[in-house]
Amino acid sequence: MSATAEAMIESDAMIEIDGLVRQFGSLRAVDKVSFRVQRGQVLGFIGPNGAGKTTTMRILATLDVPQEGDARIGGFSVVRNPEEARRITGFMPDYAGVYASTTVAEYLDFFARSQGLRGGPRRSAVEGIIEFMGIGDLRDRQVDSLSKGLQQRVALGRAIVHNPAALILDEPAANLDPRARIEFRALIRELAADGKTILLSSHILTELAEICDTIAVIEKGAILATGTVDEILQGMRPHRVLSVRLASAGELERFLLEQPGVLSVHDSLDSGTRLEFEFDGGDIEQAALLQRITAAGFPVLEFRAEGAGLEDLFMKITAGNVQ
Amino acid sequence: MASSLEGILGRLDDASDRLSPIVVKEVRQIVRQRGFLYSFALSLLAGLTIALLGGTSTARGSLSAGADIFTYLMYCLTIVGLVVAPIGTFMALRNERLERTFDLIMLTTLPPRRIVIGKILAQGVKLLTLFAGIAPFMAMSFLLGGVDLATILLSLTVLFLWSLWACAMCLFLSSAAKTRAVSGAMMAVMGIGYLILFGMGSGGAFIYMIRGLLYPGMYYGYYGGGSMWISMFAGGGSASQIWWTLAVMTTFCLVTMTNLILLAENCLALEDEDRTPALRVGLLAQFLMVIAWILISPLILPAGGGAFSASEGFYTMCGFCGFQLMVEAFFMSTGNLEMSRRTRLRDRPTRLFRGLTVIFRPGGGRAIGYVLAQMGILIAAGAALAPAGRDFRWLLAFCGYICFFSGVPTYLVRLLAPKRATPGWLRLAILVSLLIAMVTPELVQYFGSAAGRFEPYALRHILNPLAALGEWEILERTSHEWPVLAMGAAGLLAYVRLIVMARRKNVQPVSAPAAHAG
Repeated sequence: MSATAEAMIESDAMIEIDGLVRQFGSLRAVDKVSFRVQRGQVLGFIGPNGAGKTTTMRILATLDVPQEGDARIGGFSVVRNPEEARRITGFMPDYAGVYASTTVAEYLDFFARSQGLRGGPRRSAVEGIIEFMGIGDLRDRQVDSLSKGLQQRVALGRAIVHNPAALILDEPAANLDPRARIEFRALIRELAADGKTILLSSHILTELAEICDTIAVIEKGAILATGTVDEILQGMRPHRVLSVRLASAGELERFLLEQPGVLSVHDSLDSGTRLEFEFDGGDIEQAALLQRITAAGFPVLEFRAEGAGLEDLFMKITAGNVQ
Repeated sequence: MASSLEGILGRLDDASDRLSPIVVKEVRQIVRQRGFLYSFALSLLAGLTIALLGGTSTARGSLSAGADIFTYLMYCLTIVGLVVAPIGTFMALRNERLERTFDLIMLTTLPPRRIVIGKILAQGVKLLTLFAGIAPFMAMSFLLGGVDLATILLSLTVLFLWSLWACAMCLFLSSAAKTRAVSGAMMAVMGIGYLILFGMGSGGAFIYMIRGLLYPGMYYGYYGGGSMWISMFAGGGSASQIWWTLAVMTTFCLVTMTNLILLAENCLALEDEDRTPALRVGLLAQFLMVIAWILISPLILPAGGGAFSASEGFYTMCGFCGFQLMVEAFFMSTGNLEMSRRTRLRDRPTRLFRGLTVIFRPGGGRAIGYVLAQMGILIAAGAALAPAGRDFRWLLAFCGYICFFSGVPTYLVRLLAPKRATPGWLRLAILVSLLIAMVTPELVQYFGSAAGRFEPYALRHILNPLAALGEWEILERTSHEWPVLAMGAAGLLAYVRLIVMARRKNVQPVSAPAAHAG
């Protein structure tokens, strides 16, 4: 068994980051950052500009070295064994990085050669990428003459031409039009379905919410939260927030405060026809509460648990501080 | 038919796996670039014009037409080899940096050295294509007579080698320019340099210099006299001198080209990936090569027939090796004393090699030890070659000045302002102290006290290394050599203190990542 395979079997986490510290002069860009990405997971790495996302990703891509801590990809330390880590990692920075006077096929062929692929495997890797990316019609087009969206697509092809187990994508959909963004998102979903571990940063949080299994929120170089969106919300707000909408305003607020499990009622909305309240209980208790409200004669149009989106969560966690 | 063609293309594609990926990529790019197509078309046009003029000349009865065609074709190739190809190399790396594609290559399995060599080899392919375009006209010069095949082949080989050297130099310059502004400034300086060289005497001086430098064989065969390099190394024009000159120039070209490649590799490698050992070995080889030339020269060349006299040999050696030492001391004494974390974690030589390779390894003041080791070699060779005790003391003073001006300012800045002790500030400190040392004696001369104001050579002049070394005879006559040697001792002490400082920094434990697979 190869050393790579042995190293990868040892741990369930594909990407492990332990106490990374990276300082530039007096600025601590990354401050004891630690988190893990399990095999086959997609982790969204979010944070304001200057939070330390790109620095962390560059360290993972072995383009930078932390002053303290370490990161391992497939069990290989990016500090001690950068060559091995590179072999199983694909990195796509926040720019396409294309060559002049080079066709799409030649561009991919060059990176396949540079990753050590030879002969038949090289040719089939390039053909496979062209097919997967759906860029067969563009194979003989000069890569620098393509639109930004297509260049990003080719750049993603470059990052996966050696079939890496882990992918690090820094703002891959930045500056793309909506159509290109949707297509790009579909590609990432396919890669995730293919079992690749993906660490992805983006400013478009709604997109991340659709793609990612977990998220890590970073600000001022420090990780503020990691986990699924629900887990993080649970951590921030241990009680459910329920919302009820009535056909006409009534005395529901007083009624709710008398019910077991209702902790507090927020301000009434929509001229008193809608109320939000905090509730301490599970699904059974929630159903029982609804029954009691309707039994009391309140004309309920809507009754649901308020789920916070990734954007809400992001705004709540981060203070918007930029280093 | 189509399948056999595909089969051939497939086999060629497989064969291309043996080449560096960089060569394959660069050659693909080069053949599509307008610059290359223009260069190729222009060189063909120039070759055709020269051949036509030569043919006309032969028809009029000229016997030297073949030699003339050859000479002018070589001028054309010189421009291609020493101007067009090197600028292309500079631009290739510059574009890679500006388009930020270099990081992408660094993420692959290609190490920086293979990247640099690949870029130079790609220019080699470009040069060979351009040379091949001129080949039919070269054959014409041979057929018209007046030049033999050996001269043609030798001249083309020498030109090709020096063209690659120029490409390596431009690649190094391009790799040293980390920002767009610096790279632009370097291009401007290169452009001005070429203009000055071509502008000198309407290009005559440049052509003369290049001709003397590159085509000693041609010079010998057709112009009878010795080129400046022949004069310098062999002093005359015998066959043994020609071959000696060629051997010296070729080894110099190859060794310095290797070092330029290693320097470029160092500039391109990530900051944390210390690649100094190979470079130090290369620079030491260059240093030893110069000493070996000087020592071997009397054995190869007949006495009075181009061999160095003891004094010439001594001062030539001191000139070349001293210059290299100065440059090395300037950069190595001011480098980071602390090894990067990755280097420290990976720097685990076996016990067997630890002692043997100590001065080649990074950090811990080893760079200063490396400079001192070379200084020791130079002093030992100088002791063997020095014609008189005064010459040897001159060499000691030379080394002393190197130690003093690189060691003392560096040590003082590191001691008094450690936060400012970055390579840039330290190098500035060295240059400023040197400037002050050179200007102060002259200022004292004119604004100082009346006593001794107009003394032609006073103690204060020892501050100026150029004045002191230039007037060493006067200096010894006035018994001022001992203060100079004392300055050298102070420099040596500063070096020792820097080594101690560096060792202290590197004994602090580096935070090691947790042991894990790999």
